[in-house]
Amino acid sequence: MRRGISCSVLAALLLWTLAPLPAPAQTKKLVYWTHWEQNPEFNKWYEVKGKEFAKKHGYEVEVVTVPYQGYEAKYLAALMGKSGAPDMFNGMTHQWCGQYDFCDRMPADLEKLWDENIPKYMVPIGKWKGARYGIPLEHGNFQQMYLDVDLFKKAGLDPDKPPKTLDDWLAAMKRLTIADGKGEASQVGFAIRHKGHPVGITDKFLPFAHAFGARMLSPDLEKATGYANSPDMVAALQFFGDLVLKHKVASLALGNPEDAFGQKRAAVIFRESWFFGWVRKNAPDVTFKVAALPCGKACPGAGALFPWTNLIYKHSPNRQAAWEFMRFISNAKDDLEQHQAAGFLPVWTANLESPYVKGRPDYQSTKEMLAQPVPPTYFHPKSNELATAFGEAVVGVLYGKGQPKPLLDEAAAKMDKILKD
Amino acid sequence: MSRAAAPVDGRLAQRPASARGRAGRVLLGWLPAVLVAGGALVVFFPLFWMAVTSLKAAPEIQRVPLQVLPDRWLNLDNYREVFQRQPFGRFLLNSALVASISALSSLVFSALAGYGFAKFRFPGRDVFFFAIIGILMVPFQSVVVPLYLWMNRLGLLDSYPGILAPDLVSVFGVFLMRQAIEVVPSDYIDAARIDGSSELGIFWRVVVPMVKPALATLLIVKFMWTWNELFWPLVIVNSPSMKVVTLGLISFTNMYFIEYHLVTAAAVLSVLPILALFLVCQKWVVRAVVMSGLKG
Repeated sequence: MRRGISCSVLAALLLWTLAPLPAPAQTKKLVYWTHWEQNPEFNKWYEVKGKEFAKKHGYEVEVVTVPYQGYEAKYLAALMGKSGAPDMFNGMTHQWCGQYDFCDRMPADLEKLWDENIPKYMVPIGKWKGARYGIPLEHGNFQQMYLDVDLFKKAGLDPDKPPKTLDDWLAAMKRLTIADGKGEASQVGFAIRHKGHPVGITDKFLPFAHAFGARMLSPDLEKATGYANSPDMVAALQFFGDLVLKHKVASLALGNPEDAFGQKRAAVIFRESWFFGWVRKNAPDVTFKVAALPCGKACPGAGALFPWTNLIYKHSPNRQAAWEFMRFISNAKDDLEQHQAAGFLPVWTANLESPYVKGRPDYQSTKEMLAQPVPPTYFHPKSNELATAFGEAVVGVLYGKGQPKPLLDEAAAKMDKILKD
Repeated sequence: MSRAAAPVDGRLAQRPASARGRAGRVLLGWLPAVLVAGGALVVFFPLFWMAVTSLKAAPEIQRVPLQVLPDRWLNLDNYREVFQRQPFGRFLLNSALVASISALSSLVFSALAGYGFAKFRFPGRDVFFFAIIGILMVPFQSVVVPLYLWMNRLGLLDSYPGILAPDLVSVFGVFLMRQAIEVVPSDYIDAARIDGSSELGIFWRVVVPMVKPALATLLIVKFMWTWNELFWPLVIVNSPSMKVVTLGLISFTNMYFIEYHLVTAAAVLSVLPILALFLVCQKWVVRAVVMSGLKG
């Protein structure tokens, strides 16, 4: 008897859990996928705005946050499947529109609106072969120089006058590096990225390459040899490697660069505009300032290897409504509201002088970086593979596995093969 | 004169040697214990580190020099935040449900298939068996897209049956059960057949009782595998209420950084059910590891 009751209870429990969730009321939904887990407020904003949109157009917005680790597999499975895919999604235009042809082209009026209202360096973001598909999402996705004010002062350096040239910067890094009794650095000037995926290492090295006047690929993105292994690139990588091996102002013994900066074991780090939120939360003892990156032969400028955009799925039965929603939120007011909620820089030029942006620690440095010439971009469908091949050469130099020239020659040949395949 | 300098007889001469022998024996006796203790420490330390880190605030984790123990032992803020940020209780429930059903289902299908392959002769038996075993060599990633399309066609995306579908049958389980059932003496089965028992009756009353250790092995191993499954749930699940614990865990590792204080708290929560399973079925788990290691 007791056993029967237990079985019934278990069966009921199982049925309850397996039962489909209650069907929502008859509202139509635009489904938006994003892998930006780090920005829950930013994502939630779409749902809030969707409620407003629904009053006029009958569509609400449902946000699905996909874990970053493995999001590409999920996107690919769904977008190839045609149904069961999102109407709108966050991704890189050259990947999802260029490599896979999953995107709907942006209506001309909207394209014009966006082209006219974003900073110059962002205009190519969201475009593929001259046509706009994506809406750029993230301004400030370029590296800037975060410096530890206390460590600067201790070294007799003025944090209000950060180094402007690479030579001055290197001299400052030397003064900021403190060796222990065994000759190992107990504090380094620069927190260098040397571990993890080679794409990330390429991303962190590129500002140095650009400051040396080098570029990773030809302007038409069809050739690597002569660019990825140019004399300027070799010099840039030599400089980068020397930071670790010769000058010892950066150390491979330290783990990830963010932790080293947060632990006051490194005085300077190059990171994007979101980083100050991380420092405030994880290392509240660190007093920091943000400055523009130092220049060499050229200035690194504001450029991004990972240009995130909002895209519309070309097989979505709701794509007209999806574009309507994008049009609905394409204005300076919403841009400011959404980005402010998430704590990062708005995209529209009109907002760059808003009190919110002026009150940010990266206001001045962002302005300076935007004034620099726009650096080369590498929005190629195979950008991940190319950056991986290139990054392996950078890692090789940092770990003393070879000289910059032969490693870059090898990388360039590999990249050319990737470009041809 | 000291005793050592005195002329020695046979007994005295042997004494130092036997003392050395005793010391050697004692050392040999202790050596395994020391090795086991060292091994235990190596295994235990990451768990300990995870647990103490889960009690630290984010800035404490960054502190230099590294501090092993947390400032406040009763700091449960990270656990609170885990539950505030994600419906983690629901994730645990989902994982428990999915892992239990997949383990039980694999048990049934694998045992039946194993019985068929071990005790019945039919044309193409070995070919079928090796074809099934061959599936083990196909990486799951390569079948994800077609599987996703099927689930979509069947309307099973973002549902429990959808998450469960690829896990209902275990190839490893078929192999394990076939090996286990093969050693059951056929005489018992023949005797039951002569006595008029049905094939299912034979399976249930004769075969199953004799392969209980293998069944327990499969149950535990499959439960743990499904509990740790990430890739398929990642692909098929959309809504937060359908997520499993592994998806909850990686949500604290984003594009830019890892929230160590939250990851460790979530990891502690996700380890607890497996730990409970281990404590309850310790004997079976050890046997499972040994059996799956030998036969898998």
